[in-house]
Amino acid sequence: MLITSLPFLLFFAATLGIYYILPKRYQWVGLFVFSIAFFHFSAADYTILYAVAAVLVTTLCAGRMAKAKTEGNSRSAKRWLVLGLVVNLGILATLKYSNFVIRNVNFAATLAGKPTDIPQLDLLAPLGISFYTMSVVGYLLDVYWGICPAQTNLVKTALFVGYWPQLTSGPIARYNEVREQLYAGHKFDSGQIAFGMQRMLWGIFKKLVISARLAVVVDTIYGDTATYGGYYIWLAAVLFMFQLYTDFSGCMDIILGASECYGIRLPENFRTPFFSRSVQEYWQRWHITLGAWLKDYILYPVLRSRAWKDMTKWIKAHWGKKAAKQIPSILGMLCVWLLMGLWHGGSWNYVLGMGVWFWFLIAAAQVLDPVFKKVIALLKVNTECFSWHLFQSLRVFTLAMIGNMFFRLNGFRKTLRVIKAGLFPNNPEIFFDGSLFKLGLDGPNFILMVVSLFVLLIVSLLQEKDSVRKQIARQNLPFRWIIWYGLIFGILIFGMYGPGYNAADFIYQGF
Amino acid sequence: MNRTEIYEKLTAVFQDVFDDDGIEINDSTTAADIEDWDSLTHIMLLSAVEDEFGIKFDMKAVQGLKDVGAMVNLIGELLA
Amino acid sequence: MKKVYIFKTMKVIVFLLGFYVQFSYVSHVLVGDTGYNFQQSAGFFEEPKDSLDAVYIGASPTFTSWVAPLAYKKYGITMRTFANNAQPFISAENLLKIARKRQSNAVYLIAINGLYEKNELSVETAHRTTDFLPHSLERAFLIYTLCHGFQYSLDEYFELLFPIIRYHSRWNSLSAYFFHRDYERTKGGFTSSTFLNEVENIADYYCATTDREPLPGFTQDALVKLLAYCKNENVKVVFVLSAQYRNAQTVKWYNTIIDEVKKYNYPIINEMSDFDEIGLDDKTDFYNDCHTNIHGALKITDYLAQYLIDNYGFEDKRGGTEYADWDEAYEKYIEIVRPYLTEEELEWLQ
Repeated sequence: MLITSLPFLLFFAATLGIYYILPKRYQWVGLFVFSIAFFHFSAADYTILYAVAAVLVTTLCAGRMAKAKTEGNSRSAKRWLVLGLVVNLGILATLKYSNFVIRNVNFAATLAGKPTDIPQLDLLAPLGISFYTMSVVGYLLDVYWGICPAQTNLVKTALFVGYWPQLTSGPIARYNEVREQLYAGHKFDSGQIAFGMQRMLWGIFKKLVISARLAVVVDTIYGDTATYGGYYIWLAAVLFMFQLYTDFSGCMDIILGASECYGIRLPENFRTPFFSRSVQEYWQRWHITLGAWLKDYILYPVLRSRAWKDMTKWIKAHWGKKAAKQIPSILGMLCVWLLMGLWHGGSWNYVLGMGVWFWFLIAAAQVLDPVFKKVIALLKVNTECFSWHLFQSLRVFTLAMIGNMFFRLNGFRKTLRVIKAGLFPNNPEIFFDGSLFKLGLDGPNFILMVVSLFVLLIVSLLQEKDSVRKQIARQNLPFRWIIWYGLIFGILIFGMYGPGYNAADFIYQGF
Repeated sequence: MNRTEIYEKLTAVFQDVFDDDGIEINDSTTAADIEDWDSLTHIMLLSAVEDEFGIKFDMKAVQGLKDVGAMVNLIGELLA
Repeated sequence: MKKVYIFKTMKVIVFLLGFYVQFSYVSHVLVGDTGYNFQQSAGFFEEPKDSLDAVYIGASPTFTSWVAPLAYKKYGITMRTFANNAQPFISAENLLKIARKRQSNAVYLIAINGLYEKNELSVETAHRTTDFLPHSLERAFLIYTLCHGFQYSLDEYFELLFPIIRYHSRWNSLSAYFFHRDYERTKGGFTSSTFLNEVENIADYYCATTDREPLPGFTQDALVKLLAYCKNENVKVVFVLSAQYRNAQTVKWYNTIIDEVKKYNYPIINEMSDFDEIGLDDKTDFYNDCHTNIHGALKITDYLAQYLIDNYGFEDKRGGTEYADWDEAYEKYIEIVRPYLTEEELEWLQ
């Protein structure tokens, strides 16, 4: 079920009505039932068995772990942790990464002179598995580390795992963040519901008016890079950044807005990422919950592990203090970034383009930091002014844009070819001779696309100060209503939905 | 060890990890107050603190320490 | 506390009302076919309540065979079409209900036309029937009937229900026309140049058969429901088989329908069997195999009008001030068609 479709809106409205009619003690049960319904409308029914397996194993392991810990039996607790992790990650790995392994085995075997041709599998994964598995793994580790209590109720655990707003594309919530809200009763609060719906409205606008429109141009160019070379490629790359951002963050707005209507606040996944001034900051503002998850559950345990501590000591002894400060953390980050890349997809273009590329940028920034500082001092650059911040943001945008080309073009060598195609033909004339209106969007649509990006910019700038909804709420009624009517009719008239538009399948939904 | 002694040792660790002899810390210092204190250096800092005081933070502490004041309290607890 | 709730609820209601008003305007601008479908379908709702003697429901043979302003001029009767291109027969019952809300005392002529197999009517064509109907429960039922009969998908169902889904993308090519969609004010009198100008000899298309063929299930159901409705509500209904040359299967279906209608003792005007009595000439009065041109239309108009007056005794409304708009309609219409009429036809009008 597309979250920008009429059936979804009807579904949501129905759940909202039922939710507030239910007595507060059973509202969470209602959410559980809605989640099952949502799953049914969005995915093949039999795949829910994987999720059921995850819930059963997780409840069992969490409960036993907690019990073992109170008894002081840390070895038993560890065993239950390992079981929980192996089952959940095993299901994820099998469903999503078998083919990656198979392809690489075939390739390696061919290189070694003994070619194999293991056929790839055709496995259907349940909705949201990439997201709920992260939540579950985080939950098991949190229980093991004593950060949160174990949930002994099977259905409550099921709700945490399969809470429907999160099934589409996250965010990856921590058990501690949601446990009180998820199971508590919520009073009907018209202000909160209004806020939630306003957020959903903005999300739908971002997806249907901005992202879907950008997708037309991007798909036209990337679909035929032989014809559209030179500056076209870079236009597509830039537009794709905005397409991906409005698509994913629009989805988040819809999902967080919907959850807010239930009185449940999920964690944010975006914080105007294009205003970031460094690649490291970018990943603290883009897909925030994934970055935070990797930091807390991979990076920290790795850096604090025996192996790393020993390595650090060795490096300090042999290569000095400075190396000991930098190398272990860079290697730790490599683990994180390889996983980041792998999470996006089981193929090398993701691992390299979304993983290694960003690792390299962050590591290089760290290592070259003193060099940059010297150059800045030498050139007497003012680092406290708008022009410098703008330069930093543009720099980050460009670097991230290259990584995202690997994400979009779905093939490592293909991406390199496309980058090459972008470097050679020199055709700046395309910006002046009307060629831009022949990329799938006619004049009015192209102009609307540009205008909508400006609207996005203005809203993003306002967001830096304070919640935009709150800012609007402070204004007088006619102004507020003009904005809401504007959004609603903007979506109704300019949205790319209905016959003749491809249902712009949300990019992150296949995860 | 009392708080003042802890602070003395801790300041030295901070100055060493962030390579800045001028760093001053107090109960309300957070990552926002020190330029290079980010998620990566956080771990290095904690490791250095562990080494200096001969203690071990658990993962709960690693995720949860809000400011220097909380860190000092925890160090005090672990030393006791 | 109560005051706050009431105030908040009032705000929500006002907001929704404001939305409804704006939405209606936006729909009015964007939705629906341009051209004559607008005149035929939306034009019907322009008529004041209970001002029509009769209403003629059907598909394109209907509005190419009844010339309302000329019938008014000749006989003083007010009857107009409520018809649309390719309007399916299964929509007749719902359209009848919708029309009767505005014209409850009128005589209803229902054309036996618009018969299709269950996958033969595209959604685009179905839109012509539904786009200009005011939103109502009846309209929703009509759409349900069409979706069920022609097996449209859920998406297409929503699209028929809320046509803005289909038409909103037109915003980038709006012209002045869309903002000033105006009624021609010819009471549905057809003005297309094909209708006025062209002639085709259709004698060779003639297919006479007296066989019957069972109707597709959904059509049979619709027919039975229609007849039952007319009986229960005591609707003054006349079934009309338009003059047209169809293929054998269609003619067999027509025969089946006529059989069924006869069981209810409803009057049937069979323009095919009355072909000579009407005075139709298959060499000069048609512009293609199923549509009369202006000349054929005048003959049929005369025939139907006389039939209705003889059987239902309508008042002659010419000369009164109440029906001034009909006089205007005639003036407008005659200006358009005069160049195409023969001497005889002009005389007939006097």
